[in-house]
Amino acid sequence: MNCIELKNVNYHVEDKHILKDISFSIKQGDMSAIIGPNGAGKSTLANLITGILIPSGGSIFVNGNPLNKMTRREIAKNIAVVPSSFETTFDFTVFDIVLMARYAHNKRNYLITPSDTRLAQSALAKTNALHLKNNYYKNLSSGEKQTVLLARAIAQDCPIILLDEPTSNLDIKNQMEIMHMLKAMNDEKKCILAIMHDINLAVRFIENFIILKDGRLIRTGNINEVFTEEILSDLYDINIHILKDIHRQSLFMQAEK
Amino acid sequence: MKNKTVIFFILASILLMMFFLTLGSAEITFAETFKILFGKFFPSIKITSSTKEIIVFNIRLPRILLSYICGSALALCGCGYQSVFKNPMTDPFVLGVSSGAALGATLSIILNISRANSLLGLNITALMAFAGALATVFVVFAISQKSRSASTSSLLLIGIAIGQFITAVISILMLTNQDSIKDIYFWTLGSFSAKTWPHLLIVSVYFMIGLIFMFYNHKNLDIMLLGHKQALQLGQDVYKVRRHILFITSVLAAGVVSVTGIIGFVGLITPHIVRIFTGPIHKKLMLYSIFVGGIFLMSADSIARSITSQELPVGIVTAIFGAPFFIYLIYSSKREVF
Repeated sequence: MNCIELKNVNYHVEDKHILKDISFSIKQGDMSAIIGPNGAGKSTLANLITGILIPSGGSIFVNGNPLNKMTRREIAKNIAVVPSSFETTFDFTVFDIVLMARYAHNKRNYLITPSDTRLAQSALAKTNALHLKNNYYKNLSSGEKQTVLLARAIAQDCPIILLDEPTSNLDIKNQMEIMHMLKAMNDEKKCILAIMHDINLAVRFIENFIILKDGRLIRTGNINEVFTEEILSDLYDINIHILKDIHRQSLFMQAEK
Repeated sequence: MKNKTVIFFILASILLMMFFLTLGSAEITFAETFKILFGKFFPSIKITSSTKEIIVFNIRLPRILLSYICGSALALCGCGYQSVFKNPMTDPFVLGVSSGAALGATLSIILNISRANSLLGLNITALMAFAGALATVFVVFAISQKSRSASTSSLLLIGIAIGQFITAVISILMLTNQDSIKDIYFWTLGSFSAKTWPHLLIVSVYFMIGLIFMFYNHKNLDIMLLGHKQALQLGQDVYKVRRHILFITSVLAAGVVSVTGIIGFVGLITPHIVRIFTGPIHKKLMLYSIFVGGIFLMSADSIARSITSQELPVGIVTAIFGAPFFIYLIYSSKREVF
């Protein structure tokens, strides 16, 4: 069964087409990335999949259900979102932030159940962030914030996790830690969909790719199907060479000077 | 720890109420006040003066309780408004509640129907103020629904614009009816003078409805502080929740204003003061705002009625004492207020 399916999705603002005729599907348990240059429509696509934006045409299905028939609570029970960054000026503790992930699961707004607390605690433990529990979120480093947002997504306990450039503000060590955590979540049969800018990092962890350019779907497929010098050079309008790392059985993309 | 703080605030509220009951032009000692209050429940306690009993039980007690509940209600509204708008400058009157109420009151004063008694001991001025406040909020909502941008900023700006427009209309009415200027001016400054049990009963009903609703929505208010997109992603039906919270808080603010006149500052600064100590989580923030708002307004009113031979409008006292204290707290706090 597909966890996410898009059929001929269009999105335009007045006369400007942001996304045109996008169709693809992601199977349950897949780990996929949306790749494309700036302005390709990646974040718009993420906003459409999470119901923040309404498509101008076409349909989106989440775990087989039409998205436009789902309530906000139902969407949040199916898709947890990890933004590229999130700042708040309020003195929320890390635990407050993670606990908010349980909102969609608890119909009685005034209650925080013991199971909510337990799940929030275990999500922080899974991401090795339990020691940050009582710290103020706004005082954390970028890497710690991203880890907490990932913990919040885990506490939301959804079959799909959508990440908008989850490693964009992080150093190499934190990037690797986040990607390993995503891999571990994928091993638990979660469907992972990440918008990624760093293709070299993406190819080391992710199996399936959705390539966007100028609001159109260029190609979908696995590493070998998608990452050719011709496709990448055309995608970014710059000559790109692919080097093969035999030891790690990985690819390394380098743009020409 | 939390329970101890709550008990502290309950005790402090009761002790202050007892103390303020002894303040006033008629000299009634603490012991006499105590006797009069407990004499109502224990007939064996003999009350020496029926005049003093009337002063304590029918004049001072309802007024003190009313000022406490109005302070709590305005603080509760402030918590709701500041969360919905994510704006530190918002108070319960930002959607035109105060100007609408003032227009209703002004019309009743000009038309000379202000003293006529009507429903449940409330005079026509109170009813017209309530109607004016609610009508204004509905107009603000209706215009913002029709506008292309449904953002909280546009709602706020429409509220401010309508408020300014109504203030201008009131000014014209005041200039063309100069005999009524003093009455209108004093109404707008707010007062608990001559407020008795029926007023307390009416405001208490509004307050209880607001209290239950706001505590039921404490998690919704927390999530709203994360911003529109985050709230949607966590599963909140942001537009519906926002509409409900603004409607209930506006009715509560209108209920208070219609009875007391415009009392500014309490709804604006109380949540900020409390947030310094509790942080932004609304369950705690609202609980302590209720105590602090109640104590603040009750104290301000007691000062207003006893500091000089002529009673001061309470709005003057809340600003004169509240503003320096608030600035001191912001200055000395290591925490960001908003």
